Amino acid sequence: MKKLSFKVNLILTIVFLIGIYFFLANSNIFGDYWSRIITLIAIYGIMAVSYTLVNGITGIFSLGQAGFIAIGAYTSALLTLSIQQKEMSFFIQPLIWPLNSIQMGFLPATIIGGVVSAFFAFLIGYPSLRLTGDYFAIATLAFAEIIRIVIQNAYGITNGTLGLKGISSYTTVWWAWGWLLVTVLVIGSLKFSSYGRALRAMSEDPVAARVMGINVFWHQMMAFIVSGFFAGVSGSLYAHWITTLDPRPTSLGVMLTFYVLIMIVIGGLGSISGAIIGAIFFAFVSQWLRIFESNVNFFGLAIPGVPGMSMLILSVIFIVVMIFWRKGLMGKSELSWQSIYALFKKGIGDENV
Amino acid sequence: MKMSENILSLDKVTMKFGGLTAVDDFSMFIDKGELVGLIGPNGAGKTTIFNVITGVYKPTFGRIFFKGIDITGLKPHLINQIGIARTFQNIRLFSDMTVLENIMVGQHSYLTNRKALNFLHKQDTKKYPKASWKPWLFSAIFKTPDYMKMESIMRKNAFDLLGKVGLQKYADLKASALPYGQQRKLEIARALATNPTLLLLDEPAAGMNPQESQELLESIRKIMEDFSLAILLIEHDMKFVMNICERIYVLDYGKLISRGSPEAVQNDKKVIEAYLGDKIYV
Repeated sequence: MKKLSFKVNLILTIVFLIGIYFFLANSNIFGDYWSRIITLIAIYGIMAVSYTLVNGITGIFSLGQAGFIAIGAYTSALLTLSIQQKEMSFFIQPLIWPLNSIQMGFLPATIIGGVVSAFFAFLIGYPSLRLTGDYFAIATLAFAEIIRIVIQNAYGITNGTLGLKGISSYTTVWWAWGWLLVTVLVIGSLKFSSYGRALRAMSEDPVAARVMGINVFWHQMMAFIVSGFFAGVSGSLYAHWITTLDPRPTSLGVMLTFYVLIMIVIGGLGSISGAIIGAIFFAFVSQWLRIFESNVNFFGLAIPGVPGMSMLILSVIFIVVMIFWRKGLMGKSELSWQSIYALFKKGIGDENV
Repeated sequence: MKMSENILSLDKVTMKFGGLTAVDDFSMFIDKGELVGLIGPNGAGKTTIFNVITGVYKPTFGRIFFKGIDITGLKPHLINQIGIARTFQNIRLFSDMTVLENIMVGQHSYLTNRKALNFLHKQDTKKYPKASWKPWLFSAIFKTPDYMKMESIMRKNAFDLLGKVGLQKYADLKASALPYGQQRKLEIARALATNPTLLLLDEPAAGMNPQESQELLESIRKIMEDFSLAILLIEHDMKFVMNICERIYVLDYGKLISRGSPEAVQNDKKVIEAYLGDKIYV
C-alpha cells in the first residue's frame, strides 16, 4: 500500500478545513432550523469528544457527563445573564451575592464554566477514581443525579425548578464549531502524545501500566479533569443555544449522558473522529425521527404520533449498529486520509475482480 | 539497617492473605550484576515475592531494601521509577498498541518521575540530585519544541532498544500480532525501557521450545551485559535455571528450603523432596 506523504496529507487537510469553512459560512441557506441543527452537531461533538477521552481512551466508565455539562451550562448562563433579567427571574428567592451583580461576555463565561466543571471533576474524581469498573460508573451516575437535584433545590443560585430563562442566544455556528476545533486539537494532541500512550496503556491493562511506572490514578484524574473542562464548555454552548435551562431529568439529567454515550459507542469508543461521526449521526437521526412523534400519513394509512417513539426507533438503530459493528463505526482508530485512500483502493480493487 | 553493596535485599518478609501465609519469613539479597534464580513448585509463593518487591502487595511483616533504601510499601509506579522493572508470568502486553508504542509507554515515566527522584533525594541528598519540574502535560498538549525533542529522543531510544532485542522489523505491528516467543522478548524490552537497575523476570521461558529458550538464554545474558543489570528470575525449567543462574533460592510453601550454587541446590535432599515428593510416598 502506498503511504501518503506528509505534503499530501497537509494539502488534503487544508482543503477539508476550507470546505468545512464554506459549508458553515453558507449554512444559513438550509434555513434557520437546519443551521441550528448544524450548531447543535458541534455542541454534541464537543460533548462526545470530551466523553470519549474518559470512556474510550482512558477506559474508565463514567456516567457523570451530564453533571459536568449542567455545571458548565448553569455557571456560564448565570454569568452572561443581564442583571435586570436575573432580578426578574429570581422572584422566589433572590440570587446570592457575587452572581447577582456580574455580567460578562460569552467567551470568559464559557471558559469559567469549563474551569468550574473541571474543578468539580477534580472533586468527584479524587474519591471516586479509587473505585474501578462498575462501581465507578455507579458513583459518577449518582454524582450527576446529585448535581441535578442540587440545581433543582438551590433556588438562591439556580432558580430551582423555575429554571433560567432569557439567556441570550450567543452560540452561533462559529462559536460552536470553533470550540469543537479547539476540543479536537487539544484532546487529539493529548491522545497522540506520551500521555495519550500512557492513557491507552492504562485502559488495556492498569496493572501492567502501574509497574511500567505510570501513576494510574493521577493520569485518570488528568483525563477526567480535561474531559470535565470541555464538558463544561459544551454545557455553556448548549445553554446559549437552547436559551432556557431547567433541571428536568430529560434535559440536563441522566438522559443526556446516555445520548452522549450512544454517540461515542456508535462512533467507536476511543476514537475522536468516531465521536464526531456519532454526534452527527445522532443529531440528524434524532431530528428526523421526530416525524414519528407527530401524526403521519403513510400511503393513506394514518399513524398516530406516539411521544417517545423516536427514542424507540433510535434504540433499534443502535442495536443494529452494535450487531454489525461491534466496536462502533470507527473502532479505536482515527479517520485519516490514509484510511480513506485505503478504502478507495480496496473498492477499486474489488471492481477489478 | 543499611546494606550498601546489595542491589536488593529482603529482610524477613512475610506475606499473609487472610489465614494463608504465602511467603513466610523470607530473606534474600542480590548483588550488583548478579543473576539470581528463584525456583520452587507451583504455589510456592514465587510470584507473590515479585508482587511484594514491585509494590503490588504490601508485605505483612518485613522490610525491602533497594540500593540500601527502604522501599517497603511504596507505590508500584514509584518502585518502577527508582529502578525495578518486571515482566509477567502470563504476558501482559498492551496488545492493541504497536510494538514501538509498547516500548514508548515504558519511557513515559521519564516525564513524570519527579516524585520518585525527590524520594531518592530525600534519602541521600548527595548521591541523588533534586528533580527539576517542567510542565510536561502542557508541553505535550501544545507540542512545544521541548516536548518534540523529548518525543524524538524517546522514539530513537525505543528503536535502538528494539534493535537490541531483534524486534526492529516488527516496530509498526500490533503487539498481539507477534509470535509468542517475540512477545516475551517485547515484554522484556518494555521493562528495559523504564531504565531499571534490577530486572525481575517471571518465567520468561514458559511455553517455549528448547531452541527458543536457548535463544532467550543468550539474549538475557547479552542484555545483562549491555545494560549492567542485576536480574532475579523465576523459572520452572530446571535446565534453564541451572545454566544461567549464579545463585539459586528454593521456595516451598512460602518457606526458603535451600539456597546456594546450582549444583548445591540440585543435590539438596529437601529440594528433591519438594519437587519429587517424600521418600515414603515414592
